[in-house]
Amino acid sequence: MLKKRINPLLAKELRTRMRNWRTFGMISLYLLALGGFAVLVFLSNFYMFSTGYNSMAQIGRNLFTFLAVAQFLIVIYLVPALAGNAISGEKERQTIDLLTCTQLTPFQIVTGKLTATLSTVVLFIIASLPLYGFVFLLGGVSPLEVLGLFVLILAVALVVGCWSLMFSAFFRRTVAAIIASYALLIFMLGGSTLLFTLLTAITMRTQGTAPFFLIMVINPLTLLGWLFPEFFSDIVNSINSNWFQGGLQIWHLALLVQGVLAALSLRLATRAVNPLLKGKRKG
Amino acid sequence: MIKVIDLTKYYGNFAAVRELNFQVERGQIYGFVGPNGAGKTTTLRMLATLLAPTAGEIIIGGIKAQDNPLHTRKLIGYMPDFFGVYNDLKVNEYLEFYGEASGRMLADVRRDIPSLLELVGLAEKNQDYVNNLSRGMKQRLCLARALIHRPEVLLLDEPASGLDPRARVELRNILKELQAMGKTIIISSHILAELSQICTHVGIINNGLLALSAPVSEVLARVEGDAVIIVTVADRQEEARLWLLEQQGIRDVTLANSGSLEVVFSGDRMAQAALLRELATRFTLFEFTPSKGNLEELFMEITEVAMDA
Repeated sequence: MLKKRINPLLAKELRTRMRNWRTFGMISLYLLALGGFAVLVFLSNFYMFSTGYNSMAQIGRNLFTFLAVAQFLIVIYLVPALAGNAISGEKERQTIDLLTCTQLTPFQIVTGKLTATLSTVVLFIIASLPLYGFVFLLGGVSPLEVLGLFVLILAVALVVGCWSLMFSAFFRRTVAAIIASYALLIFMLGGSTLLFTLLTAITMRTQGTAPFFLIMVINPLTLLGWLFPEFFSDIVNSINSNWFQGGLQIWHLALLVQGVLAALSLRLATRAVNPLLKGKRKG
Repeated sequence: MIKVIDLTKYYGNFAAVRELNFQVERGQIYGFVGPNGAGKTTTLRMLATLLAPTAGEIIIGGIKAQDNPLHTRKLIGYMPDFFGVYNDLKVNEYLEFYGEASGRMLADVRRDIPSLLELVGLAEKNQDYVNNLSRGMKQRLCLARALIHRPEVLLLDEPASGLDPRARVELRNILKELQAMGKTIIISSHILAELSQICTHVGIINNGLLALSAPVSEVLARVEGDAVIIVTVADRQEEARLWLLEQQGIRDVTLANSGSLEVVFSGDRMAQAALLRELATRFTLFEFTPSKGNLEELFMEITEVAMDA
């Protein structure tokens, strides 16, 4: 019977998140930042249009690319803050025992928290729709591409949310969980790129086909290759063209690897939330 | 209703609970008493399926708790010693959440909330934010939460700790009402005298070992002997003191600064009742309170023996 209804934890989380000013403050700041920079990008492009170097469609495309990358990065950096206190917050509040004592399974607790985090991301996406409306006015972008971007942002939020939840379930303190989440995020975004660049530069002369680009499969930004192949997959493929044949792209591999990582994180988080599995001894 | 067999819990090499055996029948209030660190909370957490035992079995309502924790949780309502609340929720929303999370339909939970809040004395706080409740009210709200899914068994870990005397009396009355409703209750405390007023059975635990498990009447019988009774009369204190000294079983009577008489009495509870009757016919009696000092002495004696063992 419980499975047919909305997870009560999700309903409770949504209610409490929407009840304080923090969410609205965050959305307002997010829109101000995104909208402000979008105006600057538009103005700089419009200057080129007036000088004859750009078409309106090209301005629209550039603005879309900017919005996509900016929104992608903002959401990616926002998710650890949203999910980092999901379980550790319950521990700090001393409500975790009361929660695990209900009929909610550890999996339902973890997915309830995850869905609440993703719901906030959806709210951020919906709030940004008017900005994309402006992009449509300019042209150069199809509604399917925008839809694809939203799916992509949600997918990355899911991946980052899963490992943030895992750290939140592991640590007793929210601060520790958030620091661990950001450390992993920074390694995946910046560390992998740095490693890939350095290793490629060092070995290029001697080992031109070394598969160091595979490091990039852990980088969430690689998933943007689905929407912007010109910036991502093509660059990698130009270096290692013999690795990808038959339509296989690096973002396919990235999706697979990050999907597995998310599933594994979810599994570990579920185990960490189960009180009967903690400190279990043999014999 | 509850059967605990050889229950053992180790944290590393430290034995928090060792081979605990006791049984609680339906409708009983079992007081679990012991000094701090004796293993009360560990035992209750294992009963609440929040901690896996190292060895032994817990059977609640015929179900082996470790094998079927979800089903067991349907049968139990647990109130931990330290707990938090969701401050952003209103009282009714808080109970609705836990009711739904416990597998009940929202409409059913909403129907039950008024009577539940009435029971714990929070009826008028229905629409208040949890954040605005006092500590005692939050304690009572947590008790209502433990009852929201109509459990047959209540596990209360030091529910009276931190409460003022009035709130303690109110809690005691609520527990008596719950017993009348047929609930089986295990309640822990480190004060034996407090538990003896509400429990039908009592278990004394020390250093993880159950030193005694018996009906309260049996425990009280063990401490009957010299008891100190506090007697307060409206006037004629000196006359009352002299009269008391002449009575059978009275060893000593002293007049305290407060105006009360401290009577050292040797006799069983029937003799105490007879003395009370006689006293009430001769004097305007304000107070006749047998001191629980001996219960505490018994507790000290038992826990010391267990420590030596």
